[in-house]
Amino acid sequence: MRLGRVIGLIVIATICFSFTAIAEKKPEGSRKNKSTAPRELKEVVVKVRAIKASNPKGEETNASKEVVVDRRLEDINSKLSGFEFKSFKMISEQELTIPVKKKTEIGLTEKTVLILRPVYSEENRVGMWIKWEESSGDRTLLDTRMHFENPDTMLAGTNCKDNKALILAISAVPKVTPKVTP
Amino acid sequence: MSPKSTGKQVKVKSFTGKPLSESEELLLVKFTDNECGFFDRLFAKRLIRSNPQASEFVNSLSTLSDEFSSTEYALKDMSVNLWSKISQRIDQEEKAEFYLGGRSTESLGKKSSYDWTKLNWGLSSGLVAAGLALFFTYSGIFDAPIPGALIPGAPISEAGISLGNSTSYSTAGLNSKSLNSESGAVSFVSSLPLSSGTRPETLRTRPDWIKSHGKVKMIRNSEANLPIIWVNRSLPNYANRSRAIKAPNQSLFDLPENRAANTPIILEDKVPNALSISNNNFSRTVK
Repeated sequence: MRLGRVIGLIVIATICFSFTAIAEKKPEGSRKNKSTAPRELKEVVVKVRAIKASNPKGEETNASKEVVVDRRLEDINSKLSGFEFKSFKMISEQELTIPVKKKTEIGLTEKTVLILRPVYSEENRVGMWIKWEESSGDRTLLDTRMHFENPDTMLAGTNCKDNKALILAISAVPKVTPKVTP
Repeated sequence: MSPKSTGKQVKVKSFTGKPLSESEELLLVKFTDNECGFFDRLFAKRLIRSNPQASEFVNSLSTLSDEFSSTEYALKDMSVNLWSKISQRIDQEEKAEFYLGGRSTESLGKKSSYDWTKLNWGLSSGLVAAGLALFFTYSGIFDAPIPGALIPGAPISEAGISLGNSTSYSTAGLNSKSLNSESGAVSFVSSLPLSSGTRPETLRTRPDWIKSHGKVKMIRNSEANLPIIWVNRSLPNYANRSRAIKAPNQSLFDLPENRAANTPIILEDKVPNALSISNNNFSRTVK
């Protein structure tokens, strides 16, 4: 009788663990075959551009109604039109190489700090935790976790004094380290 | 069976005379039972003649023995036939052994006071609970977003908003979707996975969650399939927000000729507005 109960317990435990293994969701894009699985890369190249936006739309002046964009922001020209401003000037540009799972802080204007932490890096995809907060640490402007598809750029903006705004253009691409063949 | 009770009570009383000592009483008991030797018999007879208590003691002992003898005879006279009952019981036991099996005598050693039945049930229920806990833990049903913990390639979408192809956009309130107030942090947790038929060839950048102490808006851009996040924060130090916007400085905006209306204007590089720095120091703010 006791041996039968022990065997029954083992069977129940086995069934439970097998259900666990079956029910475990596999993320899309993951592949079982190692040879075709995306390469896990070690570092991420992050490009952060701080943009000062001014001249809000709706407050028309005699000057012009056109949108003025800094030349160095030409690649995201169309994306900046989503903001309600007519003038965009790039204040700073930084390009950093950050190891995966390492945290990096970037000082920005308007007394804000940008904290970046790449979570994973694949051939065409980068996951990164982004935290944009004030230097004092009292308030968090933005705390998000983004999945970047190479070579997308994320835009995030916040209002500043004098009806201006600070916009961040963040892009992340994996850094490919070429293999050295003997 | 109990002997028939005669109702008499025989007591050994002590009468007048010299009280008997314990040794004398023992001698008289032996004398009554005819267990004395030659000299003990002489001493006992002499004691009986000299002490009236001794004679009474012997008489009482004799009466007691007579009573017990009568009881014994009464027991012998009782006609009790147990053999019939015993034989019946033997037959019953033989039949029970034939149909139900023989009786097994348990060892008379120390019995364990521990209830193993309860232990087995407890173990089995514990294992089942552990299995269920593992199932719910690793199945991701109650998966919550944790900063820094990601599953690469996991499908992500925002609740009610699809940021894939433009054809898969959810048009309801996407343009100016604002979340919560400035009082507390905003949590915007993704919950809907992409359906199997709508996953585009190239996934676009998308968030897992968005938190902020300000008012968050997701701005839709017709050209870009990328998230544009606007955070409206309170600025208590600035009272005169309605100050008129100054006209742009003509020297900063070098307008090219023959340009079409509503076309973006690209500033020349000679305009000393933007700076590129290679370190983490605060940049110089241009006003």
